[in-house]
Parts: sequence; structure tokens; C-alpha cells
Amino acid sequence: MLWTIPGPTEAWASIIGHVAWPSVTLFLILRYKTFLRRYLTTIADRLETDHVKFGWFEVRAQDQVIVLDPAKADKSSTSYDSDDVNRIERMFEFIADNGGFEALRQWAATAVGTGVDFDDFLTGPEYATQRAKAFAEVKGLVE
Amino acid sequence: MTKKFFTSVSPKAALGIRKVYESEGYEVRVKTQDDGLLTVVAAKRSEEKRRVHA
Repeated sequence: MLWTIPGPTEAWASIIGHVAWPSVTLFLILRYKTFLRRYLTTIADRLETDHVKFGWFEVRAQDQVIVLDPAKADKSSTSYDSDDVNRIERMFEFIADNGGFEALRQWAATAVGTGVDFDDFLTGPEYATQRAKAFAEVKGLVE
Repeated sequence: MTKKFFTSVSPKAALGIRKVYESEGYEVRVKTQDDGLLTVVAAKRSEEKRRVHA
């Protein structure tokens, strides 16, 4: 049987066009496989670690919320009594003053210990007693 | 990402919160509430192992 190459008719052009694009796509994917994989990994990494659609004021289930209003002390994610809420807010105000930060940090390092993070001492419900003690001992903390 | 929220904060206490958390490597943002008090958010990226490409 003799095969002849058909003439360049429109129908043939259309058939080749339909068959060609999947093969070209496949070829390109295989040819640039490593590059594509690296590109997708980079995008996945950045979605994971960058601030993509990161709502600053969007509260998630795992976030700690501290309501510094004694009347709404029970609205915090961990419970505080209203006196403690007043103390926490006053401590942050004291820290805003000149020298307050250092004074309170030094007191906490001595009285609570250097193993405790300073922000845990300021906000952790388990340090309520130490905060009350700080009010008795740190000069200038009681208004 | 670790986030800590403080709500109904006085402006002076917000300054103190900023001082404490920025010194610990947090990024701090402040927003005014409807009642004139402030909401302060301190956020820190969790320590994550990043993939290293050879």
C-alpha cells in the first residue's frame, strides 16, 4: 500500500492543530519539570509564611484576648478578676512612663525569676498573685 | 503566627504594650474602638523551618 502525504488542506491543518497542543503542553511540562516544581514550592512557601490575606484584627480561635475593662473581665480568653485587670492595665501605663519598664522588669527578674517571660508575668492568669505583690513593692506603681 | 489581643485599652497603656511586645520581637498594631478606647494586637511569626533550595 502506498501512503501519500495529504495536501495542506484546511481540514488537515485543523486535525494537526488539535493533536499538537496536548503533545506540546506535555513536552513543555516534562522539559521544565524541575523549574515548575521549584516555582510551585516557592509559591506554597510564601502562602504559608507571608502575610497573605492576613487580617491584623481578625481573632482566630487560638489567639489570646485580654479585655482591659474590669466590667468585662470575663470576656477575656482566660479568666481574670476585675482587680487584676486594673493592675494589668496600670502596669502597662507604668511601663509607658520613663524608667517604668526597667523598674518593673528588674522587680520581676528578682521576685518572679528570670525563667519567666516578662510578658507572661504581665498577662498570665497564673501570675495574678505576683502582680498584686508588685503593686505593694514597686514604687510609683500605685497611682 | 502568634497573636495577642488587648481590647478596651487606654492610650497610655497601649504605649506600654507596644514597648513590651516590640522589645520581644512582636509587631504591634493599634486600632481605635467605637467607644474611643483602643484595641492593640501584638503578632509574631512562629519559628518555622523553611525549606532550603539547593
